[in-house]
Amino acid sequence: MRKNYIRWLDAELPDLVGKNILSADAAARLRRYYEGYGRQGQRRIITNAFGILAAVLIGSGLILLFAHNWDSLSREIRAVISFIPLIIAQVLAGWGIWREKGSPAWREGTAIFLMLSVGVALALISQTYHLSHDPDTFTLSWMLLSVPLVYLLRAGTVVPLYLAGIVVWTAITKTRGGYSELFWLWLVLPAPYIWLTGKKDLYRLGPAILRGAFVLAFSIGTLIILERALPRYGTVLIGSLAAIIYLGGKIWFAEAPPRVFLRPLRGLGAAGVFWVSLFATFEFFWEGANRGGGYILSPLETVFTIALPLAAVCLLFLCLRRRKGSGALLGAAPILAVAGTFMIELDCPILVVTILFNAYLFVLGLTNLIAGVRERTVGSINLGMLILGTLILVRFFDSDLSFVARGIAFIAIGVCFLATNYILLKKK
Amino acid sequence: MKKKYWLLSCFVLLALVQIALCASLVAKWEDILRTGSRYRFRAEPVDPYDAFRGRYVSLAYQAGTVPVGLGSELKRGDEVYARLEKDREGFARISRIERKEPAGGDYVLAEVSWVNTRKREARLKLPFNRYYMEEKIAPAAERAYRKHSRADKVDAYVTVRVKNGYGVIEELYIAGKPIREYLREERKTDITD
Repeated sequence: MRKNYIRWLDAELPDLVGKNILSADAAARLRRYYEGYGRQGQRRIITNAFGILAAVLIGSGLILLFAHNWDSLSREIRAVISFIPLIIAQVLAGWGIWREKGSPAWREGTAIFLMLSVGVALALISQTYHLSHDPDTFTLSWMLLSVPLVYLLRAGTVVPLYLAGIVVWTAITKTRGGYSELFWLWLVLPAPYIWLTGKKDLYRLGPAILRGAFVLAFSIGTLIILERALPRYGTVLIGSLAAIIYLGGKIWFAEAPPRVFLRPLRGLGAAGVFWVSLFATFEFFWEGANRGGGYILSPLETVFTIALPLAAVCLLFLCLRRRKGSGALLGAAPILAVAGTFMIELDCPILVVTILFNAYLFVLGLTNLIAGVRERTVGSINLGMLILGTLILVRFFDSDLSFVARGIAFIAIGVCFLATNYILLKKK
Repeated sequence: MKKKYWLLSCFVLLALVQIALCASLVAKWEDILRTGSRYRFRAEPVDPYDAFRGRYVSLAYQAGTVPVGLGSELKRGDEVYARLEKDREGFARISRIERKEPAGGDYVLAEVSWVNTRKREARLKLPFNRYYMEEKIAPAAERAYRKHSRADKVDAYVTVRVKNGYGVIEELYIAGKPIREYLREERKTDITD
């Protein structure tokens, strides 16, 4: 039960009592019931967190105890000891299933302990036999042996760790020239669980965090796979991906409460658009893109470079059709990215492209600020100020522009703000 | 009730798979150590910065540098099979490198670190280049290893068991003694001095 619902009810009760819709006694009982529920909810979060921390600490402590006398043990004893944390963790988790212990603290705690124990067992075996680091095989084995715990123990905390693990595997495999594209297959494995938890209550914190982690992992893993295309087409790929995430959050999770952690897609998407646009305001960024000109895209990279901006534009139109217009500007980033890349391909001056992105960020910041003031939403005001403030700061210290150019630009923009203020005050 | 038994059965299956995978790794390396061919690899100095990282000593081998034919297409990152034989002093050397897995004989899977086309030689990264040690004694082990693997004084070597392309370190020897025995005697000498 969300705290703000309880707060809303608490605020409504005096009015309901005043209008004789509820008796004072009933209102008091309701108040007591939901206060307890809120406290129970907090207790649940604390016990879950403590359970997970306990598992991590106990697991780490066992490892350290074994490490103290490791060298004096024979190879055979070391090999046997490698299994001990794993078996203890399996017994604890299995006992929890047998006794049908529904407590999330128990389930999550034992799942994390077991996941860590698998990694410890593999690492200790590697050390016992002085094996050279084979990080991709190690990481993948560890993750694939752990992902079933998500379903068997209904342990959501395993999901972000698993996602981090497969992203690391993708990075290692890519540098070694392996089949990093298998990342998308590994990514699918926890997806049904994420979808099922969302089905129960889409806007609870747990499902929201899992969604955010999934989307973040997908983005990073995909960009790692496409890394050779990034120097030349990075703005298009990252800008489009970020816009898709943002617009997806606006369209399919429209009812999410206005809190950052409950709107992970919008937060991640907006951050992605902002950062890639900010980098695109620097000349060195496009000079680097120019140097990547000789590279020919692979078929996979070509598909993504075309499909991502197209998908972003389709979502943008969908967003506008559903009258969720406030997202249009952020969603327009891929169009600018494609335009900028084409201009570079056609040997347009880099300065023109950077001015385009400066103007885009400026308008983005300004519209958020104005919208925030109009709708009295502090979040939008802060976002607008953050965008404008960052833009001003980086341009102030931008040594690519002369002092005179910077001075004139700053004064001109400052005058525009004053003029706008004057007009708004006059309209009042 | 049915759901509980179904869940438990799946969990037990997972647990057995986890144990089986770990056990199969142990069985594989133990088999190589017990039945693999024994080779001694002469140690080579390593970059002092890289010699010790955390819990292990980084190892390099004289045998790792091999001549390559004119026009060789080898490049960094290539995986090759290095055929092994013993020299007159009983130390390992690489007799040949091949792209395809050999049908028989002793060989290890190695990775090409660099190729010097002018000198016509390649450097191979052999799969047994780490020796794990407890952190307290590792600095002393590192000093001993570097002291005994200098060009003018190479009396550090590693014994490795090789089988089916895999190599597993048996022991690191300094001045003819296993590293831990050598360090124990060094400590006794320091105390009596």
